[in-house]
This record gives sequence, C-alpha cells and structure tokens, in this order.
Amino acid sequence: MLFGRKKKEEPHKGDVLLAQGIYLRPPVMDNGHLVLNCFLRSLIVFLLVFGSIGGFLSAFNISYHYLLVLVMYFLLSMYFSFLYATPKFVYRDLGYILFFSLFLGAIYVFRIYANSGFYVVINTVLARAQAFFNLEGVRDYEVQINNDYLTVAIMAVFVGMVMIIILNIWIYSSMSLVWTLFLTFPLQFLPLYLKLNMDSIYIIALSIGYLSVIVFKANGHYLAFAWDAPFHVRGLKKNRITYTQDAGIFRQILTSLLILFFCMVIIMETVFPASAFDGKFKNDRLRESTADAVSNFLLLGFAGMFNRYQSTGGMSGGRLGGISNVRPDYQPDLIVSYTPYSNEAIYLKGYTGGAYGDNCWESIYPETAADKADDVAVFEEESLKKEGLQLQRLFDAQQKYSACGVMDVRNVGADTAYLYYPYYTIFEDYSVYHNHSMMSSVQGLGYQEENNYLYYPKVVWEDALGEVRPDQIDTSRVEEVYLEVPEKNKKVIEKECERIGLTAQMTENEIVESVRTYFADNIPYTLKPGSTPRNEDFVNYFLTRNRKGYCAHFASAATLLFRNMGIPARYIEGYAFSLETALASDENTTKKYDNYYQGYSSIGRSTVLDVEVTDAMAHAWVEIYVEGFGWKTVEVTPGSAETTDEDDFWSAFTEFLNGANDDDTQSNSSGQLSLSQYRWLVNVVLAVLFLFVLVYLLKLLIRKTVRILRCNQKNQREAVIASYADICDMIRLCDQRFNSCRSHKEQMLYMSAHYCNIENRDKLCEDLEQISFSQAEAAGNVLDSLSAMIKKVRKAIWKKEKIRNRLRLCKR
Amino acid sequence: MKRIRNIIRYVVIVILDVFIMYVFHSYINLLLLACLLLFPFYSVYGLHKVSQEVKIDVLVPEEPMGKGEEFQVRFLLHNPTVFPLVNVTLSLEIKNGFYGLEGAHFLNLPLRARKDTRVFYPVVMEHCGRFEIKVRNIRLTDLLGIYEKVVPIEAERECLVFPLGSERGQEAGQMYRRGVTEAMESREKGYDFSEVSGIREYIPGDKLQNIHWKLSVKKDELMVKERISVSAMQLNVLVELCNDDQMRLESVLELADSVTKAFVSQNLPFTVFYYSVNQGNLRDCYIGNEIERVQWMEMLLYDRCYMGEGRVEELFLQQNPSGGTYLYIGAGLGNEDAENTIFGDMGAAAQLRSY
Repeated sequence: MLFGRKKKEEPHKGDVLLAQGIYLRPPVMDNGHLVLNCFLRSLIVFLLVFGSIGGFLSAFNISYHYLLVLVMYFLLSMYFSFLYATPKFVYRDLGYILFFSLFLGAIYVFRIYANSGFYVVINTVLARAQAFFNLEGVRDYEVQINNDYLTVAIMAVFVGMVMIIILNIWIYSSMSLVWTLFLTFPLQFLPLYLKLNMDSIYIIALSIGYLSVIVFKANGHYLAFAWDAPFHVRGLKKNRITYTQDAGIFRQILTSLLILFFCMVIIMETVFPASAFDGKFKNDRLRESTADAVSNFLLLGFAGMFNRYQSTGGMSGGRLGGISNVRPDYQPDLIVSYTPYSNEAIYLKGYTGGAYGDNCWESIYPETAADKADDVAVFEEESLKKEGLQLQRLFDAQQKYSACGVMDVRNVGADTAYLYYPYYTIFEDYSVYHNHSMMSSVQGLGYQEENNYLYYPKVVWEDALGEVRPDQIDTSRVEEVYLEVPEKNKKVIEKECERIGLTAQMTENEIVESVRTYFADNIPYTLKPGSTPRNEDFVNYFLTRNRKGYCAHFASAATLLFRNMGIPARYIEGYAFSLETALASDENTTKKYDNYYQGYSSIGRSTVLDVEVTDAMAHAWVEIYVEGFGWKTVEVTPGSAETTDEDDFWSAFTEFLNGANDDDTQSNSSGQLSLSQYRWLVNVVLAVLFLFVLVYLLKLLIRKTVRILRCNQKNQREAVIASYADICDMIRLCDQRFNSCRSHKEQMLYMSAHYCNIENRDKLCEDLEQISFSQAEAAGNVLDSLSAMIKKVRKAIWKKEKIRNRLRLCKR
Repeated sequence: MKRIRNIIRYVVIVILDVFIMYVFHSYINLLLLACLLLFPFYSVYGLHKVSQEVKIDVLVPEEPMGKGEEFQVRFLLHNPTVFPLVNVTLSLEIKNGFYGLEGAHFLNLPLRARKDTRVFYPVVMEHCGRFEIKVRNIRLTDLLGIYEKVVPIEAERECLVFPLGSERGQEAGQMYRRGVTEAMESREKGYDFSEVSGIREYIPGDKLQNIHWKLSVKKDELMVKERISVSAMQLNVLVELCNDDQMRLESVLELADSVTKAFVSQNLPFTVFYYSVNQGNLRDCYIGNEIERVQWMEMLLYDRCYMGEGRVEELFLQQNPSGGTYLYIGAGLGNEDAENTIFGDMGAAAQLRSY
C-alpha cells in the first residue's frame, strides 16, 4: 500500500455466531423495504400528530386549510422518518441542521401568520370558555391577518412540526407510549373539559396511532435504522435474533387497526351516540371543583394558576400580594360623562384603606358598627364632605378659581361593591351610605346603574398647601390609624426614608416630592412584578427585594413612608383617567356644557364627553392630610412606559434571545411579554437537568467504586478473577466479536492478537482456568504473573482503542 | 416477565382511559374504551386462528456448498388467515453434523396475513461439514404481547459444505508415481488395469477415453463405459478424521481434497480408507472419477469426526497385513521423510508410507 497501512481483515465482522464456525451474515439492506418501512413508520407519527392537533381544532370548530396541514404533516413525518433511513449518522445530522435552518427562515417569514393563527385559536378557546364559565372580562387578542383559514393552518403546521420532530425520535428509538401520550393527549384535555367532542376521523387517527405504538412496543420489530442490521441480536444470552426489516407487517397492522376502529366507532356512534352518553352522569364534580382554577388559567395563563384571586384589572378592595401580574381586559368598566376642566387626571374614588396589615389595607369602617351614625360619619370623612363643603362655599362666594361640576358615572363592568365618585362630591344624603361593609354590594354602584354626582373641583392649588412640616400638623383632627406603621414594616420603612433622604425638617410638599422623584428614578413600574412570596410582607418585599411594581405597590409603600414621616396618609383605590383619555372619547351632544360645568376651567370651555373607563384605568393612590385643608390626593406611581400588554411570543422570543430580559426594567419597558416571569421554569428545567447529570454521575461513581473494590479486594485470587472479567468486559464493549471467544484460551488469543503479546500465554491460560474453576490453592507467584498480565492488557486496551471506545470505557 | 409487563401496561392504559372518561364525562374516551376492550379479544382470537393454520418451510441449497461460501437458508412462513402477527419466534437448532458443533437460538419474525413471509438467512460456514437446521417449534405471540401459543413443528434441512483444497497436482502426481510405479508405467504404455463393468449415459466430467464410441453412434447419444480397477497395485489413501481443539482436521480435509482432486484429474484411480464413526469400522471407497470422488466426500461428511487417537492407519494395517504402500493423510506428522510428504496447513500432511 502506498498511502497507508492496509487494514487487517476481520473475517466475521458484523456476523452473528449461530454455532461454532457457523455465522449469520448481515444481508444487504433491501432499499425498497427500508423506504416502505420508513414510510409506514412515518404514518404512525402522522396519525398521532394529525389526530391530536386536528382533533383539538375540530373540537373548537375552527376551520383551517386541511389540505395544507395534511400535506405538510405528511411531508414532515416522511422527512424525519427518512433521516433515520440514511446510512450514516452524519447525513441525519445534516438533515436536522438543514431542517432547522429552513425552520428558522420559515418562522421568521410566517411569524405574523403564525401569531395571528395562534390568536385566532386563543380567541376561539376563550370565547368558548367565556360561554362555558360565564366569564366576564375575557379579552380578545388582536389578529393582524384576517385570513383565519390560512393563519390557523400555518400555526397548526408550526406546532405540528415541533411535535413531529419529538415524536419521531421517541417512536423510532423506543416506540415510547409514555412520550406519545405525553405529547399528544394533553391537547385534548381542554376540549374534554369544555365538553367538546372532536370529529370521529381524528378519534380514529389517534386511536390507531396509540394502538400501533402499543402493539409494536409489546412485540418489538420496530428498530429499523438504516445502520442497523436487518437481523438484530437481542437477549441477555445473545441468542435471540429479531428480523426487523419487514414493512409488510406495518402495513397490515395499520390496515387491521383502521378497519377495526372504523367499524367500532361507527357502531358505537350508531348504537350509543354522544347525546345518550351525556345524560349518564348526574354530577360533575371535576368541573364544579376546578371551574375557578381553570377559568383563571384561561384568563391569565399559567400565572393564573398561582394567583390566589384573579386580577384582570379593576378593584382589589385593598388586598395585596396575591397576584403575580395584572392583565387588563381593556373592556369598559365605567362610562363617565363630564366636562374636562384641567390638565390634571380625574380620580374616581372607590375604596379607602386605613390600617395596614397581612398584605391588606383594611377598610376604614369599624368591624362592628355601633350604630348607623358611626358608618355615616366614616363615609362623610371618607368622601371628604368637609373639604367639599369648603369648596362649595368658595364656589357659592364666586371665588375666582372655584367651580362646580356634574359627573354621571354608569357601571358597565366594574365591581358592584363600590361607589365611584369624583373628589369633593357633595352627596344629597350621606345617611344612605350607612353600611360599613361596602363589599356586601348593598351600597355599591350596581351593574348598569348610573349615579349623578355634584362635585366642586379644586382646579388650582394656588395657596401653599402642604408647605408645613409634619410636626406642625394638627393630627388630633384625623384618626390615629392614618399615622400607624405596623411593627413589621417599621424597620424597612425607616431605612427607605433614610435612603430617600427624608428628614424631619422637610415640609409635606418636599417629602411628597422626594418620594415621588425617588420612586420615578429608582423603582420601575410594571404590570408583571410577580406575586409576593408567601409569608412575605407586600410592602417589605416590594421595597427590599422586588423593587418593581404597579400602582398598588407604590401607593402602599408611599402611604407607610408618609405616615412614618408624621403625615397622615391613607391608601385609596378607584379609577383614574387622564385628560388625553377624556379628549379621545366620544362627545355627548345630547348633554349641555352648562348643565355639567360652571366656574373656572383651566382649559377653557369644552364639551360633555362620555369617557369609557376601562379596567386598565383602575388605580391606587394616596391621600395625605394637609394642614388647613384636609385630605388631598398624591400621585406617587411613576409613569408607565408600557405601550401595550400584548403577549407577542415572537417579540418575546427575540427579546429572550437578545438577552434583554436579563433586566426586567428593560423588558417591561419594551412593552412585550417578559419571559423573566418564566425564569422559575428555566430554573426548574436546569434543576432537573442538573439532577439527571448528578444521578448519572453518582451511578457512574458507584459502579466504578464497586468495580475498583472488587478488583482490588484482599483475596488476591478473587481479585485476579474479577480483574480478568473486567478486562473482558472492556474488550467486549469495544468489540462485539470478542463475544465469540468462549474459552480463556480464545480470549487470550484475541488479546494477544489485538492488544499486546502475552508471553507464556498457554501457561497463564492454564493457571487462570485453574484458579477460576478449581478449588486448588494457587501459588502467589502465579497470581502475581496473572495480575501483571491483566495490567498489561488493560494498559494496552486504553492505549490502542480509539477515542470513541475510550469514551465508552469511561462511561462504564 | 415481558408478558406481565405488557399486561400491566395495557391495564394501566385502560384504567387511565376509564378515569378520563369518568372524570371528564368524555365520549371520546368511551369510544376508545370500547376499542381497547375489543382489541385483546381480536388479538387473542387472531392468534388462535393463526396457530391452527400456520405452516413453515425451510429451504437450503441442494447442491453442496464450498467452505466459506455464503448460502441462503430460506424460511417460508405461510399464514392463510386474515390476522397478522408481529412476533413469531422460531426455535432453531443449527448444527455442523460432521464436527458435532451445535447451537440453538430464537429467531423472531413477523407473520403477515394471507401471504407468505419469506426471510432469507445468509449463512456462512467457517468449517466444512454438514450444515443442519432444525425448527423445533413456533411460538406465536398475539398483537398485544399478552398471550402466547407454542405450535410444535418439525422442519429440518441439511446442506453439505465441502472443503476447498488448493491445487496440488504436481506434488500429488509425483507421490502417486512413487507409490504405484507399476500402475504408472502401464498407464503410460496405454494399458489400463481395469475392466468394463457396465455401460451408462454420459455425465459431464466423464473422461473421454471412457466413452463407448460405437454404442454412442448407434444410440445417438453419448454412452460411457463404467470401469472397475483390477489392478492390485492401486494406491490406497488413508484419511484420518481425528480432530483436535485446534480444528486441524480442517486442514487434513483440505489436503485430502487437494490430493484426491489431483489424482482424479490425472486419471489415477485410488481407494480411500477412513474410519466411520457411524459404522464403527474402516470404510473404503474406490475412486476412479470426479463423481465417485464427490460421492465419497458426501459420504464422508455424512459421517462424523472423532477426537483422540487416530484409528484409520491401525485398522488398515490390521485388515491388510500383507504389506504395501499407502498414502496417509493426517495431522501432526513429522518432517523426517519430507521427500515422501505433501505438507498442508496447520501440520496437516499427506505421507507415503510402506509396510
């Protein structure tokens, strides 16, 4: 040979030993069989994926481009199946790389289609869920492309593609029923839960798929990679040979199952139709007990599973910490008819929190009302009657900046437990609102109910209100509770005051401004701050660890900060909307300006507007007590840069790849889905992987330790036998032909030929046989020479084997 | 164990389906349940039907094969029913009858419905001898792998595998000359120490000189004279079929094949002696042409080799005490008389001996 050494001829490489001197030769692979085999196996994957995804879509009655989906599923199943028919691993790997390149390209080109298709499905599912659970506030996702027929098909192709890839691997490698069920059946849970039945054709497809997997799993004959011999040797004693290359049996089994299932389904649907079946169950415990959780899940996704109460925006009644994110549905909660009069936001007060404790702002109403008058007094104080009357007097005296307005508030979707009224409203009869338990829905603004409020806005704060130090405030005029800071918060709040730089010398305005500026500069606003961990205080967690949040976080923290500085403060929930929102609303031409507003307006004469106040405008803020005036609103929540709350998976994915979500501030400010909230999921996956690796390494370590101990045991004779068995195992792992060496003599001959020359082979062989099979005492020098031989061979194995085999030996 | 595992798996699936059906009030799962409950009956019934009808045929080459040559063993499973089975296990015994080397294994095959399932088993024998394959029974497993049935079937085939000796014409010729001087001289003069014992049709391979030309012209087809040697000085060839751990008999047979082939090709008649284990005594066989040689080889391979001491020479000398010359082919012969010896592989040799 000119260009290299000639390879040593290996006479029976790949042969199966049938008896001594008789070998089964690997036959030449029949390409026709192989192709047909791959085709039929791909049919199983195709049936499963088509049955699963098609069944889901058919259950929700979503129509799509059937032909496109069928063809694509079929081609993809075939493609991945044929990757296993390629004779070399490298072709398969290249096939995967090629596919993923195409996949990335396709995903980029069709991302909007896929997104739209996905939203169509989500919208349909939510609509069905809305009807099923009688849900309110189900949002409708915006679909960018209105060709549902096509977009759903493209989405189905992308989802199916992923499923086909994974399923194909498991079907080919181990005909895994567990993975098959795990990948295909969960998709059916939702339709089943919502009592939707998929079309029969999909039931048949899925059933055939499952049964095929069961049958082939139970019987073997499923290994037919191109690189496998058609005769596959199995069994512990290597005496079981399986013929794997028979495509005909696949065809016959699939056909049998098709006929059987088709007949069965037709008979069942005729004899015992679905309508007859539905009436058989009298109670529905599952749905009764899980309706809340499932509806919450449908509304909020996985995050909703961990919520202790649902939050789609709107009022929370002072309860904090139970939700991880807020997903407004952007549906109107209130319709407010009023006339704008300044640039300032309009606040509609709903709930007033007094004492803070257990992640909740408690109602200012006493637990047990002594009499009706107590409640009325509290309501007068809550609704700022005194301040309103003061402004009313100014208006009556025709003071320059005074004004009077009328506001109509109609409840079209807000919580009916609360009233929603503008600041400085003068109620006609305060005694009506005597029930301190506003949550009982007795006193609130009922659904489709409309209240007309007369209010006296404070348009201009021309006097230096709040320009006093807190210690100069006459706190005897307010309840003590408005100055209470719970013990558990004291430390954190004081530290935060220090950090902000609040001092006793500062005036109310300075303190408020410092807090506001600090919050704006240091703590980002987000609708997805994550839920407060159990046993953690909401405010403490927000100020010390989480350092991000939405209005409830800021308002709660600020309330306690103000109280700590000696300013009476309370937590308020309600709705707030800006002038911009108002100006974007419809003009109500039936209502006259003069009937709705009189007096000073900083923006001049305008018109009556019907403002749709959505749940996204639900808000929390602070009221502080200003010496000489009374309660005044303070806005401490920084402006949100979030432009939309749409969950755009592709954007989020891109962002995730770009690493933008490393910083929640950035990700949230981009206004797209933050994957950081799923960091726990990544952590779980990593933990599981780590666990797997750990268990694997541990097992490896135990195996190796046991082996080393066995080979180095005190009894030298046993140690030699174990060591010899060990090197035989090593060689077997590297070369299966070693299995054909049945006697020590043959084994040593093989070792001599392949690894290193064994001197005195016959003598050593005799000695080894003697110590292995007889009870005769063995001389020390005999054992020493055997040990030396074993060491030599072991060394030679490590030296001469290829890297691939060395790795195998390492993994032993 | 596997059956139990399959049963457990199936039961778990049925329970899971019932659970989902009950919990979700799912009609789909009811349909699936009906199918799942029906399927085992279908599967077991199918197995029962197949077990009544299944047939198997094993085919091996009828002509003798050469050592190391690949030949096909064909299994033909006939299932006239409409029920396919994924797992049919043939219990096979494979044997080299000459050497007494045997092995048993199981072959798992699928069994197609209403069609023959053909499986080609490419086999190669490292040693010459008699390849025997025997199907002891067929174990049928139903589609779900939960029920098995053994069908006793006896199917047995065998195929001879001849040694492939190398070309040793010149050495063998010289050896013959030394052993049978008289016969050689006569042959060179045109005499033949044989008598015509019968007339038969020509078989390819027959020597031209044996053709009975006159009769051939009359009958309009080639006829051949069958001869029996009458020479008392034929060469006797003793083949020792004694084997050892190193399988040196293989080399002996190869050498015997080479030598006898050379004799036949040079029209040198001879008698072969070997010890027959089947008959328990010495067997002899006169060989005058290739057909006889092949028949002898077949006869030899239908016999068995033996271990231990060589027997053929001792028995031959006992039965032929009058003296003479013979060619002994065996293993472990020394190099002392190299002139009268043809050496083969692994210590095998053909040695001219006189007594």
